[in-house]
Amino acid sequence: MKWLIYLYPKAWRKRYGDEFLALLEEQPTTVWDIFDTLRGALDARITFYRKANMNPLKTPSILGILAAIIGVIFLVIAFPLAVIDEGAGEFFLMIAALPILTVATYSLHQMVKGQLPRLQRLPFSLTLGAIGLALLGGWALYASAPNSVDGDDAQRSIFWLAVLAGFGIWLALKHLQLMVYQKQNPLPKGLLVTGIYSGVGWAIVMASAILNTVNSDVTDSLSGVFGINILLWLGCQIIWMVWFAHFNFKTHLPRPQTA
Amino acid sequence: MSNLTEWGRFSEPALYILMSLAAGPKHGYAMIDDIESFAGMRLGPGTLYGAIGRLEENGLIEALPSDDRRRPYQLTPAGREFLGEQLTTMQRIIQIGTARLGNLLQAGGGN
Repeated sequence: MKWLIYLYPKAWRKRYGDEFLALLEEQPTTVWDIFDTLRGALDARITFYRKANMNPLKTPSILGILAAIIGVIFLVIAFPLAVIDEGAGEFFLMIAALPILTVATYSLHQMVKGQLPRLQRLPFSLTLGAIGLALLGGWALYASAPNSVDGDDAQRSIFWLAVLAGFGIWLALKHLQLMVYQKQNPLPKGLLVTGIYSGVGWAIVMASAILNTVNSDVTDSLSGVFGINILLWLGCQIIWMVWFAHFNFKTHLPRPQTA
Repeated sequence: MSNLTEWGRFSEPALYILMSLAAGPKHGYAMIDDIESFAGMRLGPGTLYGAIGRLEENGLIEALPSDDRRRPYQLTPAGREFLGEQLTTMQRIIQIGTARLGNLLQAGGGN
């Protein structure tokens, strides 16, 4: 139960962490308490950042660039292998590439916010490139997902796909955080929908891949629905990331200092 | 702040915390027990500290120094005034509702 506190923001833990842990230790923990703590962590993640005027995506920008490079390597290695010989190993490489590229995109947005003023134009271009790579990886992922895998491979597939579905939920939360954080700068309401769906849609993609592994007949019958979801997800992700990069490029990018 | 309703699901817990602290400074676990005794509601830890954070941010309660990890809180002067306003409003609502319900019951008893 104590580990749940790490779901709260670091600054929140610094202020309330000790007494919160003392409270958890004093009373018996129920399932409701766990659920309530999770709810509280979600609330703290959103509101604590808003009132502290902190950027919820304070990720080192260098880490983002490295993540993009690793993601590209994964795609370059995995894509031809998947085309030549479909298998679970290459599948995992490609599904690992996509979240890495997404993390890279967010981190690159940080660069656009001015953490590295000398590279102001480059991150924007890299962001667009990362979107292209994400699209390629998404197509390769969908094309090479195993139709049915037995035994240990099925368990591994389900495990990793469930992890990535959770990643989609995290992605939706980050989008929501950014919308709240940017509240002082009015944003089109459509961006909220596209931002949230880019995470939810990802979770649905992963859920459909899990279902495909367990019972491909069901996914075949729902292929139209899943196909529409993928198109919607890709569209929302493109719209959100490109617009958000443009928004930051336009409003937050400091001009290079001249000597 | 003008209205607890701005806090959504934390509005009721926040009011209960203020009422609990009106009886004297308390730490979190004591608040939970006290609120359960007078309101019949047991606050979860996430809800409790979500409300405490909002109350503290708005200057309605303040933390007291403590030697152990359990940190007691107390009402601030602004918190006392705010609690008084909220309870006055609720009292007026209760009076109106009671009077109307009484009229309704009387009218129904006459039929």
